[in-house]
Amino acid sequence: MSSELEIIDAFIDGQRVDGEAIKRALADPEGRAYMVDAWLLREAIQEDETRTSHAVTTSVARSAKPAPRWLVAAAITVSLLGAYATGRLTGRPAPLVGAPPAATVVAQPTSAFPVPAATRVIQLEFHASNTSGGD
Amino acid sequence: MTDVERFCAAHHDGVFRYLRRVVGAAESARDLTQEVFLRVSRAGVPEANDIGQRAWLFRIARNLALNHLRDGRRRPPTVTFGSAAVPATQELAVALSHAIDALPDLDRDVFLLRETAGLSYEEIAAASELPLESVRSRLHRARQALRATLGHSLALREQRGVRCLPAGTRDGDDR
Repeated sequence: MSSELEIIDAFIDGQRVDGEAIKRALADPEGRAYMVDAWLLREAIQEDETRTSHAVTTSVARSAKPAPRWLVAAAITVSLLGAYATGRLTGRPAPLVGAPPAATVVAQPTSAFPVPAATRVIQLEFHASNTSGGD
Repeated sequence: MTDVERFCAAHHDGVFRYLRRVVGAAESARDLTQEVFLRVSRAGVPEANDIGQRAWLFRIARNLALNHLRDGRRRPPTVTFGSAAVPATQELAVALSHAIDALPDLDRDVFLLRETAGLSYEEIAAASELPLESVRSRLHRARQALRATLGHSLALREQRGVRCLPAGTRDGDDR
Protein backbone atom coordinates (compact mmCIF):
# COMPACT_ATOMS: atom_id res chain seq x y z
CA MET A 1 0.00 0.00 0.00
CA SER A 2 2.85 2.35 0.85
CA SER A 3 4.19 2.27 -2.70
CA GLU A 4 0.74 3.12 -4.04
CA LEU A 5 0.54 6.06 -1.69
CA GLU A 6 3.98 7.17 -2.87
CA ILE A 7 2.52 7.26 -6.38
CA ILE A 8 -0.07 9.67 -5.03
CA ASP A 9 2.72 11.72 -3.41
CA ALA A 10 4.48 11.94 -6.74
CA PHE A 11 1.24 12.84 -8.50
CA ILE A 12 0.36 15.72 -6.15
CA ASP A 13 3.97 16.90 -6.25
CA GLY A 14 3.82 17.35 -10.02
CA GLN A 15 6.02 14.38 -10.90
CA ARG A 16 5.27 12.34 -14.00
CA VAL A 17 3.56 9.10 -12.95
CA ASP A 18 2.24 6.04 -14.73
CA GLY A 19 -1.43 6.49 -15.59
CA GLU A 20 -2.43 2.96 -14.67
CA ALA A 21 -0.60 3.17 -11.37
CA ILE A 22 -2.37 6.33 -10.30
CA LYS A 23 -5.73 4.87 -11.33
CA ARG A 24 -5.06 1.83 -9.15
CA ALA A 25 -3.93 3.99 -6.26
CA LEU A 26 -6.99 6.17 -6.43
CA ALA A 27 -9.34 3.22 -6.79
CA ASP A 28 -8.59 2.44 -3.16
CA PRO A 29 -10.55 4.54 -0.61
CA GLU A 30 -7.40 4.82 1.51
CA GLY A 31 -5.58 6.28 -1.50
CA ARG A 32 -8.28 8.87 -2.03
CA ALA A 33 -8.33 9.77 1.65
CA TYR A 34 -4.55 10.11 1.61
CA MET A 35 -4.67 12.47 -1.35
CA VAL A 36 -7.30 14.69 0.27
CA ASP A 37 -5.29 14.84 3.50
CA ALA A 38 -2.13 15.74 1.58
CA TRP A 39 -3.97 18.64 -0.07
CA LEU A 40 -5.37 19.76 3.28
CA LEU A 41 -1.90 19.71 4.82
CA ARG A 42 -0.56 21.80 1.97
CA GLU A 43 -3.37 24.29 2.26
CA ALA A 44 -2.89 24.59 6.01
CA ILE A 45 0.83 25.27 5.56
CA GLN A 46 0.20 27.89 2.90
CA GLU A 47 -2.45 29.65 4.95
CA ASP A 48 -0.06 29.73 7.88
CA GLU A 49 2.66 31.19 5.65
CA THR A 50 0.30 33.92 4.54
CA ARG A 51 -0.75 34.73 8.08
CA THR A 52 2.84 34.79 9.35
CA SER A 53 4.01 36.85 6.42
CA HIS A 54 1.23 39.35 7.08
CA ALA A 55 2.15 39.50 10.79
CA VAL A 56 5.84 40.06 10.00
CA THR A 57 5.06 42.73 7.41
CA THR A 58 2.71 44.50 9.80
CA SER A 59 5.23 44.45 12.63
CA VAL A 60 7.99 45.77 10.36
CA ALA A 61 5.69 48.47 9.03
CA ARG A 62 4.73 49.47 12.55
CA SER A 63 8.31 49.67 13.72
CA ALA A 64 9.36 51.60 10.63
CA LYS A 65 6.52 54.14 10.85
CA PRO A 66 7.97 57.64 11.38
CA ALA A 67 6.93 59.72 14.39
CA PRO A 68 4.12 62.17 13.70
CA ARG A 69 5.18 65.71 12.80
CA TRP A 70 3.57 67.31 15.83
CA LEU A 71 5.61 65.01 18.07
CA VAL A 72 8.86 65.99 16.32
CA ALA A 73 7.97 69.71 16.61
CA ALA A 74 7.08 69.33 20.29
CA ALA A 75 10.36 67.50 20.99
CA ILE A 76 12.40 70.26 19.31
CA THR A 77 10.53 73.03 21.20
CA VAL A 78 10.96 71.31 24.55
CA SER A 79 14.67 70.74 23.97
CA LEU A 80 15.20 74.39 22.96
CA LEU A 81 13.31 75.69 26.00
CA GLY A 82 15.21 73.31 28.25
CA ALA A 83 18.55 74.46 26.89
CA TYR A 84 17.57 78.11 27.34
CA ALA A 85 16.41 77.59 30.95
CA THR A 86 19.56 75.64 31.81
CA GLY A 87 21.69 78.41 30.37
CA ARG A 88 19.85 81.05 32.39
CA LEU A 89 20.18 79.14 35.65
CA THR A 90 23.78 78.05 35.42
CA GLY A 91 25.31 80.82 33.31
CA ARG A 92 28.05 83.12 34.84
CA PRO A 93 28.94 86.64 33.77
CA ALA A 94 31.90 86.92 31.47
CA PRO A 95 35.17 87.78 33.24
CA LEU A 96 36.27 91.45 33.19
CA VAL A 97 38.87 92.36 30.66
CA GLY A 98 42.27 92.84 32.27
CA ALA A 99 41.41 91.20 35.55
CA PRO A 100 44.23 89.10 36.96
CA PRO A 101 43.88 85.38 36.69
CA ALA A 102 42.50 83.75 39.77
CA ALA A 103 45.48 81.50 40.27
CA THR A 104 48.76 80.68 38.64
CA VAL A 105 49.98 77.16 38.66
CA VAL A 106 53.71 76.80 38.77
CA ALA A 107 55.29 73.47 38.20
CA GLN A 108 57.29 72.44 41.22
CA PRO A 109 60.44 70.39 40.76
CA THR A 110 60.19 67.00 42.25
CA SER A 111 62.76 64.65 43.50
CA ALA A 112 62.51 62.78 40.25
CA PHE A 113 64.16 65.75 38.55
CA PRO A 114 67.07 66.94 40.79
CA VAL A 115 67.93 70.59 40.40
CA PRO A 116 71.59 71.10 39.31
CA ALA A 117 73.86 73.28 41.41
CA ALA A 118 74.09 76.93 40.33
CA THR A 119 77.18 77.91 38.38
CA ARG A 120 76.67 81.73 38.45
CA VAL A 121 74.62 83.81 40.76
CA ILE A 122 73.24 87.04 39.45
CA GLN A 123 71.97 89.52 41.97
CA LEU A 124 69.63 92.22 40.93
CA GLU A 125 69.41 95.40 43.00
CA PHE A 126 66.55 97.80 42.81
CA HIS A 127 67.12 101.46 43.80
CA ALA A 128 64.25 103.76 44.14
CA SER A 129 64.99 107.19 42.64
CA ASN A 130 63.30 110.37 43.89
CA THR A 131 64.58 112.50 41.06
CA SER A 132 62.97 110.91 38.17
CA GLY A 133 59.31 111.16 37.39
CA GLY A 134 56.61 112.68 39.55
CA ASP A 135 56.47 116.31 40.43
CA MET B 1 18.78 44.51 -12.86
CA THR B 2 21.72 42.07 -12.90
CA ASP B 3 21.39 38.29 -13.11
CA VAL B 4 22.24 37.93 -9.44
CA GLU B 5 19.64 40.52 -8.44
CA ARG B 6 17.02 38.82 -10.57
CA PHE B 7 17.91 35.45 -9.06
CA CYS B 8 17.70 36.82 -5.51
CA ALA B 9 14.36 38.53 -6.16
CA ALA B 10 12.90 35.35 -7.64
CA HIS B 11 13.86 33.15 -4.69
CA HIS B 12 13.83 35.48 -1.70
CA ASP B 13 10.36 34.50 -0.48
CA GLY B 14 10.95 30.78 -0.85
CA VAL B 15 14.21 30.92 1.08
CA PHE B 16 12.66 33.00 3.84
CA ARG B 17 9.65 30.69 4.16
CA TYR B 18 11.88 27.62 4.39
CA LEU B 19 14.24 29.21 6.92
CA ARG B 20 11.41 30.50 9.08
CA ARG B 21 10.02 27.00 9.39
CA VAL B 22 13.42 25.50 10.12
CA VAL B 23 14.73 28.00 12.69
CA GLY B 24 11.36 28.99 14.13
CA ALA B 25 11.84 32.74 14.64
CA ALA B 26 11.07 35.23 11.88
CA GLU B 27 13.89 37.54 13.02
CA SER B 28 16.53 34.81 12.76
CA ALA B 29 15.07 33.68 9.45
CA ARG B 30 15.37 37.21 8.10
CA ASP B 31 19.03 37.44 9.18
CA LEU B 32 19.80 34.04 7.68
CA THR B 33 18.03 34.95 4.44
CA GLN B 34 20.22 38.03 4.17
CA GLU B 35 23.28 35.88 4.82
CA VAL B 36 22.22 33.43 2.09
CA PHE B 37 21.90 36.18 -0.51
CA LEU B 38 25.08 37.86 0.67
CA ARG B 39 26.89 34.60 -0.11
CA VAL B 40 25.10 34.33 -3.43
CA SER B 41 26.15 37.85 -4.40
CA ARG B 42 29.76 37.13 -3.38
CA ALA B 43 29.97 33.79 -5.15
CA GLY B 44 27.79 34.62 -8.13
CA VAL B 45 25.10 32.32 -9.44
CA PRO B 46 26.71 29.18 -10.92
CA GLU B 47 26.30 28.35 -14.58
CA ALA B 48 23.69 25.63 -14.39
CA ASN B 49 20.13 24.97 -15.36
CA ASP B 50 17.35 26.32 -13.15
CA ILE B 51 17.09 23.09 -11.16
CA GLY B 52 20.79 23.11 -10.37
CA GLN B 53 20.72 26.75 -9.34
CA ARG B 54 17.79 26.31 -6.98
CA ALA B 55 19.33 23.20 -5.45
CA TRP B 56 22.59 25.13 -4.95
CA LEU B 57 20.74 28.05 -3.34
CA PHE B 58 18.81 25.85 -0.94
CA ARG B 59 21.92 23.89 -0.05
CA ILE B 60 23.41 27.17 1.16
CA ALA B 61 20.22 28.01 3.05
CA ARG B 62 20.03 24.55 4.58
CA ASN B 63 23.67 24.56 5.71
CA LEU B 64 23.31 27.99 7.27
CA ALA B 65 20.15 26.91 9.07
CA LEU B 66 21.80 23.75 10.37
CA ASN B 67 24.83 25.75 11.59
CA HIS B 68 22.50 28.22 13.23
CA LEU B 69 20.75 25.44 15.13
CA ARG B 70 24.01 23.68 15.91
CA ASP B 71 25.58 26.84 17.32
CA GLY B 72 23.32 26.57 20.31
CA ARG B 73 20.89 29.18 19.15
CA ARG B 74 18.21 26.62 19.67
CA ARG B 75 14.91 26.71 18.01
CA PRO B 76 12.53 28.61 20.31
CA PRO B 77 9.57 26.63 21.53
CA THR B 78 6.54 27.01 19.36
CA VAL B 79 4.16 29.60 20.73
CA THR B 80 1.15 27.91 22.23
CA PHE B 81 -1.97 29.94 22.58
CA GLY B 82 -4.43 29.43 25.40
CA SER B 83 -7.34 27.37 24.16
CA ALA B 84 -9.76 30.26 24.67
CA ALA B 85 -7.60 32.60 22.62
CA VAL B 86 -7.07 30.33 19.63
CA PRO B 87 -9.45 31.04 16.79
CA ALA B 88 -10.64 27.94 14.98
CA THR B 89 -8.65 28.89 11.87
CA GLN B 90 -5.41 28.97 13.86
CA GLU B 91 -5.99 25.74 15.73
CA LEU B 92 -4.72 23.61 12.88
CA ALA B 93 -1.77 25.97 12.28
CA VAL B 94 -0.61 25.58 15.89
CA ALA B 95 -1.08 21.80 15.83
CA LEU B 96 0.70 21.67 12.48
CA SER B 97 3.73 23.55 13.83
CA HIS B 98 4.01 21.13 16.75
CA ALA B 99 3.61 18.13 14.46
CA ILE B 100 6.29 19.38 12.05
CA ASP B 101 8.65 20.03 14.97
CA ALA B 102 8.15 16.44 16.11
CA LEU B 103 9.27 14.94 12.77
CA PRO B 104 12.75 13.38 12.50
CA ASP B 105 15.25 16.04 11.32
CA LEU B 106 15.82 14.76 7.80
CA ASP B 107 12.16 13.96 7.18
CA ARG B 108 11.24 17.46 8.35
CA ASP B 109 13.86 19.01 6.13
CA VAL B 110 12.73 17.13 3.04
CA PHE B 111 9.10 17.94 3.77
CA LEU B 112 9.82 21.67 4.25
CA LEU B 113 11.95 21.90 1.13
CA ARG B 114 9.00 20.48 -0.76
CA GLU B 115 6.10 22.28 0.88
CA THR B 116 7.52 25.69 1.78
CA ALA B 117 10.15 26.14 -0.93
CA GLY B 118 8.40 24.16 -3.65
CA LEU B 119 11.52 22.24 -4.70
CA SER B 120 11.14 19.25 -6.98
CA TYR B 121 12.33 15.81 -5.88
CA GLU B 122 15.52 16.19 -7.90
CA GLU B 123 16.22 19.59 -6.35
CA ILE B 124 15.58 18.27 -2.84
CA ALA B 125 17.93 15.35 -3.49
CA ALA B 126 20.66 17.72 -4.68
CA ALA B 127 20.10 20.30 -1.92
CA SER B 128 20.07 17.78 0.91
CA GLU B 129 22.58 15.39 -0.66
CA LEU B 130 20.24 12.41 -0.48
CA PRO B 131 19.40 9.77 -3.08
CA LEU B 132 16.17 10.39 -4.95
CA GLU B 133 14.53 7.29 -3.50
CA SER B 134 15.33 8.46 -0.03
CA VAL B 135 13.64 11.79 -0.78
CA ARG B 136 10.50 9.99 -1.94
CA SER B 137 10.32 7.75 1.10
CA ARG B 138 11.11 10.50 3.61
CA LEU B 139 8.50 12.76 2.13
CA HIS B 140 5.92 10.02 2.28
CA ARG B 141 6.86 9.16 5.85
CA ALA B 142 6.59 12.79 6.90
CA ARG B 143 3.14 13.12 5.35
CA GLN B 144 1.96 9.93 6.96
CA ALA B 145 3.23 11.08 10.37
CA LEU B 146 1.56 14.48 10.03
CA ARG B 147 -1.64 12.83 8.89
CA ALA B 148 -1.63 10.53 11.89
CA THR B 149 -0.98 13.39 14.31
CA LEU B 150 -3.42 15.85 12.77
CA GLY B 151 -6.17 13.43 11.75
CA HIS B 152 -8.91 15.11 13.76
CA SER B 153 -7.96 18.66 12.71
CA LEU B 154 -7.73 17.62 9.07
CA ALA B 155 -11.15 15.96 9.26
CA LEU B 156 -12.62 19.17 10.65
CA ARG B 157 -10.96 21.15 7.94
CA GLU B 158 -12.19 18.82 5.25
CA GLN B 159 -15.72 20.00 6.00
CA ARG B 160 -14.77 23.40 4.55
CA GLY B 161 -13.78 21.73 1.30
CA VAL B 162 -10.44 21.04 -0.30
CA ARG B 163 -8.63 22.59 -3.22
CA CYS B 164 -5.67 21.63 -5.31
CA LEU B 165 -2.64 23.86 -4.72
CA PRO B 166 0.92 23.74 -6.00
CA ALA B 167 3.57 23.46 -3.28
CA GLY B 168 5.82 26.33 -2.30
CA THR B 169 3.40 29.16 -2.74
CA ARG B 170 1.47 31.19 -0.24
CA ASP B 171 -2.27 31.01 0.00
CA GLY B 172 -3.49 33.92 -2.10
CA ASP B 173 -0.50 34.02 -4.46
CA ASP B 174 -2.69 32.67 -7.22
CA ARG B 175 -5.33 35.32 -6.78
